[in-house]
Amino acid sequence: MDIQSGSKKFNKRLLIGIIVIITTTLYLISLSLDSASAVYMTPSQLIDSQINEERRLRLGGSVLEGSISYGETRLDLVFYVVDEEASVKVDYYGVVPDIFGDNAVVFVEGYFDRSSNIVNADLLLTKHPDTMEPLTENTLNSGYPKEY
Amino acid sequence: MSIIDVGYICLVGSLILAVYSGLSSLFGSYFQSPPAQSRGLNTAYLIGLLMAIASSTLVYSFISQDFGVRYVALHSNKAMPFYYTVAAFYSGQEGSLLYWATLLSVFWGITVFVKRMHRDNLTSYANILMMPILIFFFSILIFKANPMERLPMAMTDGQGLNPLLRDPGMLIHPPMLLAGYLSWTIPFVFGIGALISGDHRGDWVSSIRKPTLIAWALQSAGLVLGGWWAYHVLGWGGYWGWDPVENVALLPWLTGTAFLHSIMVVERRKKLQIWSISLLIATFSFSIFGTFIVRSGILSSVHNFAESEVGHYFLAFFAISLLGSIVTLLFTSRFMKENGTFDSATSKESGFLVNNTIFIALSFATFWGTVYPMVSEALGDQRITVGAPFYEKVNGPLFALLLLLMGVGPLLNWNHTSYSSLKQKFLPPIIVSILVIAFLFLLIDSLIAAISFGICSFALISIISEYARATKSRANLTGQNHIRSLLSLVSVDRRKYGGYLIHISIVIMAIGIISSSGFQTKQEVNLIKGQELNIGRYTLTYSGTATIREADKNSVVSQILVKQKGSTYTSVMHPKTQYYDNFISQPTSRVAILSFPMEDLYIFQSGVGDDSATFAIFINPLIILVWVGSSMIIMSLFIIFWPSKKDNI
Repeated sequence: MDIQSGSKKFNKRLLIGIIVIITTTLYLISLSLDSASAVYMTPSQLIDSQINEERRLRLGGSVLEGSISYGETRLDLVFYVVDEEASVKVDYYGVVPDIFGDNAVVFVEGYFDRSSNIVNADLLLTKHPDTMEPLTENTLNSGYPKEY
Repeated sequence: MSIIDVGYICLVGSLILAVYSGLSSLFGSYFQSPPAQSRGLNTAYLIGLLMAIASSTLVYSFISQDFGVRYVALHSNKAMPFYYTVAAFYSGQEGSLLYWATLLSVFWGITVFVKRMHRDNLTSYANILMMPILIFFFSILIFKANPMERLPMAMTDGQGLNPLLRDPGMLIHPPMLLAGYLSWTIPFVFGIGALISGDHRGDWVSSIRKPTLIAWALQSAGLVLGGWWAYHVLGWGGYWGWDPVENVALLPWLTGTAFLHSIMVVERRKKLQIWSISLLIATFSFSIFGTFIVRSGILSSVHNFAESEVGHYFLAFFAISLLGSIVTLLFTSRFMKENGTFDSATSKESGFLVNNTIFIALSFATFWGTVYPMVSEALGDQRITVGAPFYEKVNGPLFALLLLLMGVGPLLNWNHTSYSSLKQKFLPPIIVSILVIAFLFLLIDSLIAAISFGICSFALISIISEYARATKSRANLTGQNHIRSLLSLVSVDRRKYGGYLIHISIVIMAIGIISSSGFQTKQEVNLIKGQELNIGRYTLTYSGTATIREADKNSVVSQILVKQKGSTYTSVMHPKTQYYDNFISQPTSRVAILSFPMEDLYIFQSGVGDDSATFAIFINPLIILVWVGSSMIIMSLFIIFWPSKKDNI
């Protein structure tokens, strides 16, 4: 077949197939954005919000120092997630990531129980420090490594 | 003056030479002066050399433990083993950018060298485009993120490498992935160069065949190694979590893989040229986007991300290169001879078009999920986040469709495949896969899994039957026996039959992925010393935890005895948590994995009490196929790359 610019025939079945793939993808995306997503909030936003108890919630903040208390098996625990203005109690069952602890930046996912003001979480993630560089410029320039 | 200052001088020298080289090529191409074009291209060698020297001086500073260099003091210490120098080199922003710039300079030097015999206008145009990209990186390195910076006073010891990076997987995964990202620059400059130079016949495709495959190979290896690292370090029992950083690493791979397929249509049928160049633009842009995201931390953070200054420059560079390419494409594409005819749905080119549609759908879904938190916040008041379930629901079916197509594609002819030939070729694999689905559905009682495995078997059988058919007709033609025909078949058409080998590897990987994610057993337990636990076909006994002092860390190690049912042999597993002296607030785990051919027993230590400890225990069936399949991909690539006698570039 010779190269002819301008002549553009497009098979109907092929075109329909491509359109089906595209629309199915868009449909799946919109469907999953409703069913497989979570609303992100900080503790102070959660306190002010009218969030539905059935809406999945992602809460982000840091762990209040000294607030972690483990149950009998170390698998169930409660702690407070705080930001500058508010704190929310979190009830979580499961293993915790390596760097979970006082003041760790965490994200928990679960559902908010308005009557008791507790987030019942089934997912707990910690955020690693943004940089891989542990020292500040000042300590470096002083010429001494910082003691932790 | 110390050795690192030599590196800095080389960096500055590279910047000056890059400006010279770019201008020289521009002048040469504009006034059609071959000597000026040559000078421009020859300078590329020198840039590659200088950058290699610059990087070597940093490596030397690491090895000689020169803690007067800021970067070395931040990323290494005396206790660090020698081989982690590699990881230390790229672990910070400055080092990874230096790595990027060096490797691209060297790769470009090699590309220009390989093309020395057939230097054409196209290479010159590519050089005009390459130099601004290098100039951007060199300038960032010199003015904003200088890895050669010295401290006012040398430190006695360095801070040490981040514990997360102290792992063999980390020695190769990020450098591989970054190398994959940056390698896409080379096809990109050739593609855009073809638009500008007026090489509209599609010849540019042959110039970039190898660079494209290399970029794809590096990127694939980088992704797989990342999964392998996550599996044995992160401790959540899997290898891919649809994390934003993983997603941005996947995006250029998706568009790049689409490109890898669409250029075959350009080569054979002179179709999809503009489309292919658009894919190149997307791949290059996603690579820059990826480097920027990984380096700025913009996606992973909560609200108030610490934006580094370099982030702004990257964003600007990303926007300019994307806009510039799109404008170029719009203004020059009408000169491009394009045969847009797709008049048969059952032709190879139509198969590739459907393949590309699925890849674009995958990229779009992944991209949308990744940026949706930001988009939703900008449009409404709520920040909506999506996690792994979103991607499983959307991308899962698309990947299944892609697997199905892997079985269909090889059996299609260019131009048109007749109905009778379709029937003859497809009937056997369809019948077998229906039987597989029925059998598995009765066995495992999960329709989705049964269908997924059925699709895998369809693809596998149809590819293997394609090998069988070609081998048979070759044997008839040449009179050789079948094994020799098979071998010579692969060696004569490496791209085709090596490519099918990659498809087989991917199907094997898919079987591993479906099994290990769909049939995983997970149990979270707190065990008291001496307590037994039955999980799967194993009996585990927790015998206690001890703290062991090693070079610059304390390791908290638990011991678990493992007995298989019906066996007298006892294995020992040691999941542990490590506390490095300089990173006390950042403990890192080492998962214990006991591998069997059919499954992995995987234990993560989550917390340790007085005489008890908490573990997450996983059984991952057939996970070995993920690693077998990915190793096979790399081996297939070696087959494709193996130089043959009549090979010319």
